[in-house]
Formats: sequence, structure tokens, C-alpha cells
Amino acid sequence: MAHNNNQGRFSGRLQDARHLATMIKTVNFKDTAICNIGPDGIFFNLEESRCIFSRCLVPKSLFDDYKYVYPAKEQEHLDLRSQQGSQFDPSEYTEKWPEGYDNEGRAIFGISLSTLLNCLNMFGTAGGNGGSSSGGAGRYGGFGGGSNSASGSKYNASQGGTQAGGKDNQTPTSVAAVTAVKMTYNGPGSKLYLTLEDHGVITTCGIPTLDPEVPVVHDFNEEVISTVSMKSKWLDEGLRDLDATSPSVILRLSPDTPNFRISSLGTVEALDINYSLGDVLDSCQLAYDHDIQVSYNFTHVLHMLRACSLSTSAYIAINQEGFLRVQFLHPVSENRYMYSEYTFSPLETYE
Amino acid sequence: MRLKATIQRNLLFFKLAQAVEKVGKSLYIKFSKDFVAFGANHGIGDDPSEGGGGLQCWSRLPAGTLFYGYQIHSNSNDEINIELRAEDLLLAMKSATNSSSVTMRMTGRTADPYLTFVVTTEDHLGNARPITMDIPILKILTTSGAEDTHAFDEPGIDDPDVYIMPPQLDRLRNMLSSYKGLCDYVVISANLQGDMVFTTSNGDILDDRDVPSLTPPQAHASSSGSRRGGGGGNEPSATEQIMRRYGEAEKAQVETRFSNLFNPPLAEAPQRNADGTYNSKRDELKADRTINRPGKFDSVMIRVSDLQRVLQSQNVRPQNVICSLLDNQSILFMVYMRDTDNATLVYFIPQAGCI
Repeated sequence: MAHNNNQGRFSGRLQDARHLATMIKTVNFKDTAICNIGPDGIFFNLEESRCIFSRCLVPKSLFDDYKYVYPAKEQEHLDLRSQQGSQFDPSEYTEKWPEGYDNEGRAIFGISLSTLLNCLNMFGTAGGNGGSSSGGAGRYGGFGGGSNSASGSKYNASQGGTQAGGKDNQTPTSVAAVTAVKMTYNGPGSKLYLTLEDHGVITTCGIPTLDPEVPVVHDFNEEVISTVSMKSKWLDEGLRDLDATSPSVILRLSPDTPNFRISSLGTVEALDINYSLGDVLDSCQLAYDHDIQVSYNFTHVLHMLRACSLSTSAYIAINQEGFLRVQFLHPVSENRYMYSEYTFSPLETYE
Repeated sequence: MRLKATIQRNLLFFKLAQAVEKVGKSLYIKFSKDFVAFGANHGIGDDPSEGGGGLQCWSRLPAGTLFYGYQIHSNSNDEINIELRAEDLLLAMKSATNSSSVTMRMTGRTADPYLTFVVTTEDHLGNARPITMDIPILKILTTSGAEDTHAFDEPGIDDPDVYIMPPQLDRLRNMLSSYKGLCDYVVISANLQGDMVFTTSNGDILDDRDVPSLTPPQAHASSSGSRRGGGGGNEPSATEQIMRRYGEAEKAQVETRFSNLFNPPLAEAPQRNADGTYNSKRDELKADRTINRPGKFDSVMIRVSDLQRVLQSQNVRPQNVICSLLDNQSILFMVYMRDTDNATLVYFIPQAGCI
């Protein structure tokens, strides 16, 4: 592969692969996503039939090293037919970003999220069950470095994975195990390379990238919106309590209590979950004086359950057209956050 | 024909069955006066989605490590060969884990033979409750029948090229489940310098071909270029060797590299004569390899699911595991079990596509 100096380049090192894995898990309602890398961080965008959109951001502040180099712009002649001789007239040329970059010069490509997650979880530290990767019973000692002496562990196989003290030269697989990951990307057509290291073991993964689908431009028109914010776990519990057999979920905002209600119409019964200001809602602002009631496809809305359980706060907004946008805040440490967002198109608006 | 014994507290008998459970359709056990042998193999006719055929495992232990009060009597030299399903044996194990004693008896003779287990559990009041389980024996084999199954035979293979102690099987577990999600085959490579490399593959075996290198353009310190043989020869890097011979996996090309592993010395080191020559050409090549090209990687491609089956051996609490490789042909895992005087459980996997 010719190393073309005009291509954009990205390299970044993340201390904990779990952060990236968490973000991907919050948004992956389908496998193929558009990955968008720029100077401020990495975005993943997904969209299905213009009905459900999700995206997440892993900002640059989370990385230990982060470097994004813009590609060289290409010259494109405005009117190819009127090219005369070999004279270069700058006014007839326009610069544009080459293929594989969006109109801000950010690298954009498609990638399979399941493959990416499999690679990030190579050492078992980015999985859903944290770092406890051992099978429990049956650890054995005397490995690595060539020593054959049995380790001091005197335990019965039936006692599970705890060790009875003594010297133990096995690699600990505690929940705190953290794997660092280094990522590189060298422009369209190249693979996204991940390098993970865990106690001296190095894994290199080359994930093929795809040409990006034409991104669906979707502007959440914020002119007239109503917003509600609350802790994610309340939204999580509420959604889980609703009847999953219901085809739709109805959201209702009201100036009177209950200010926010989510309802399902199941085969057996209709369920309402109510939230009120002063109770669990952190804030609630309506655009109008009257109630708003909009329904959404419940299966779509349920996709955001993962984001709810992995985040601390949820910011809900419904705009004039009835689109629902929910933004989630994932704090990593002091002053370091990651963001994810879902947008849903409405089924029906009730006046 | 009579067989009666009490199973040792460590339940090693059941643990062995657990270790070899998924290898093949049936488990063969040979009971003799002094030892007990296990054998299982994945035949070509077995379900291909559970392995490409060819994975075999066997083990032989002194009867005393598995049982006490062992009594056996039969007309064919006090030997009994049986075939049963490993899953059935494991159902018995479920009740046995918290019991005070487990006895085993063969019942039923030729009509519907069973291996009967009586599990005695004592509750805190001291009352003993026995549970009886009859495990169906699929077949009692005659001596010639046992030989025909080849379950207890070790296949004849050449002396291996590389011996190495692989990384802890625990660590491989996570890695392999990630690999499993990416591809069906894994290429295992090792050299005599303590390096072991696992690579994903789609199962193709190619001729030498110019294929692009795996390592990313900004190579890191431990990448392919830095390991060289002791003799200073220019070995192609492991990655390039593998890329030339085996097809790339489609979803992602992954390579995991372990270093600082231990190479046990070859059992039969080539003997050098007084005048510096070797007894055979083979010995000469071997010695040359050890001295001049210890960095050369030997590789074998096998199914990921077969390797995962080898990891099941953690049920017998291995003390050590030694892996031996024959370049482009087969790989052997010798699992030394704890507290059994170095008895081994051996897994043999030929290269995929070479049956």
C-alpha cells in the first residue's frame, strides 16, 4: 500500500479500552456504523431508515495521545470543458477534501461494530462482565518465565477461584484489569489498526474499513423544543417496567403534574409511568402551555436502554415536528465525559 | 466381568470426563488391573460444525489416582473396555460434587450394561442419603474391538520441531472467544526463543505469494523486525511467513504475540559424535535449527473450536502444559495433571484441511 503523504492520518492512545467499548455498546443497534474521526474526537454514527439515529462521541480529552492530520485538499476544476492549454488559473479551481473525508476534512468510513468490540475485548477487559475472565476453579501455577514449581495455592477445585494465600505467580485477572489500546488509521482504503497490550502480550488487529454510506443529514430543529432532564436510571426503570409487547410508547409532557409520562398499550393492559418535577425530574421546560403527546415505535426506543444503564444523566427533547432526541452523559472521571445520543422519528402526534 | 471401585475425593475421574467431553461423540474407557485409559476422537463423520475432524485426545493414569478399593475381574485378562457418552457421566458428576462418597459399579452385564454410581450425601444431622444413578454404557468392546477404535492409540508422528510451554490457558480463553467471533481458524506459531503467536485465518492454505504485510505503517518496538535468530540469519518475520502461507480472515486480521515463554529442551537432543558429525541427516538438521535458527517460526492452522476444546482441560487442574508443533502438520498439547505422578492428558490436532 503506497504510503501517500497526502492522506489524512490518525493515531491515538486510550488508557482504558473499556471506554471505547462502552460507547460502542450504547449505540450499536445495528452492526455497521459510520466512524468519523477528526481533531476533536471520534464519532460513531448509525441510522436506520431515517427513523432511528444514534451517535456517540469519544472526545479527544479522554485519550492520552491524540493526533489527527488533515489530508491535503484536492484541486478540482470548476468547469472541465473550458480547460485551455496548460494555464493554471486559480480562480477556476476550487479546493475540496478528497474522497473518504467529509466536508470538514474529517476522516469518515464504515466499520463493523461487532468486529471492533471483539477486538477491544481481546483480553476480556472490555466485556460486559468486567474483568473477571477466569473460569473459577482450575488455575494452575508455575507458568511463564520457565519455572515449573507449583505455586503456593493449596485449594480444592471445588472452592471456586479464590486462592489460599501463599506465593502466586499467576497473572491476576481482577476486575481492575485495564487494557490500553492504540489506534491508527491512514486514510481511505486502509485498515483501522488496534494494538492492545496486556502484561507483555501484544495483540494487533487490522479491521477492514468500508466506504461510508452517504450520511443522512438530520437537523434536530431546536427552535421550538420541550425538554426534560432526569437521572438515567429513572428512565431505565420506567422503560423496563412498560409492556414490551406494545408496538408503541407514548410520551406526554404537561405543565401540570405529572409533568412527564411514558405509556405503553399492551395486549392486556395500558401502563403509565409518571415523573414529576420536584420528584425525579431535574428540570422540565415546555414550549407550549398545553400538553404534548407523541408516540414512537417502542422497539426503537428500547434500543436506548443500554445507553440508560451506562450513563448518569439523560436529557430528553421533543421538537416541533415531534422528533424525540435523548442525550446521555457518561462521566469517566472529573471533567472527562463521553456522550451518546438517540433520535427517533414520531409515529403519531396527538393534539 | 466385575468392576467395582470408590472414586477418590478429588473426583478426578469425572474431571477427566469433563475435560474431554466435547471432543467426540463417545468416550472410550479402558479399565485394567493397574491403569485406566481414556480416549476420545472427533471423527470425520461427526458434526463438522463442532470441529473439522481429527482432534484426538487420550490419557492413561494409574488406577490408584482415580479410585480406591478398585476391584476388576474379567475373562479377557482382567480388562474391560467400554464406550459411553461423556455427557451422561457428567450428569452423575453433578450430584457427586458435594457428596461424602461415590462408588462405581458395573451392572447389567451384557444385556443393557450400566455404570452405576451411588452417591452418598450426608446432611448436617449426619443422615446419609444415597442417590443411585445408572449411566448407560453404549458398548462393551472386546479386546480386538478396542484396538479397532484406535481411541487409545497415539498416532505415529514425526519428532516435533518446536516444544514450548504455552501461556496460561486462562488467558487464552478470552482471546479465543474474541477470535471465535471473528473467524473459524487460528494459526499457531512458535519458535525456540519463547515466542508464540496466534493469528486469525479464514482457513485457506496458500502457496507462497506476495501479500501485503500486516504490521501497521507506524510499527511499534516489538514488531516483526526485531526478533532475529541467534546465528544472525535473516529470518522472514513470523508475520510475513504466516501471511504467505495462510489466508487472511475476512472480518479482521488479528495477531496476538506472547513472549518470554519457556522452551523445554527437546527430549532427544541430537547426539553429536566425537568428530563433530551427526548420526543422521535428520539430527544434523535439528541441531542446525537449534543453534542457527532458533528464531524461525513453525506454524500450524487449526480450528478455533478445537483449541477451545483443549482449554477444557483446565478441569483437571493442570500443573503444566507443553505444546509441541510440527510445522504445517500438527500440534500436540500435553497436559500434566497435578497429583498424579506426571500422568498426562494429551490432545492431538492435525492441521485443518489435511485429513
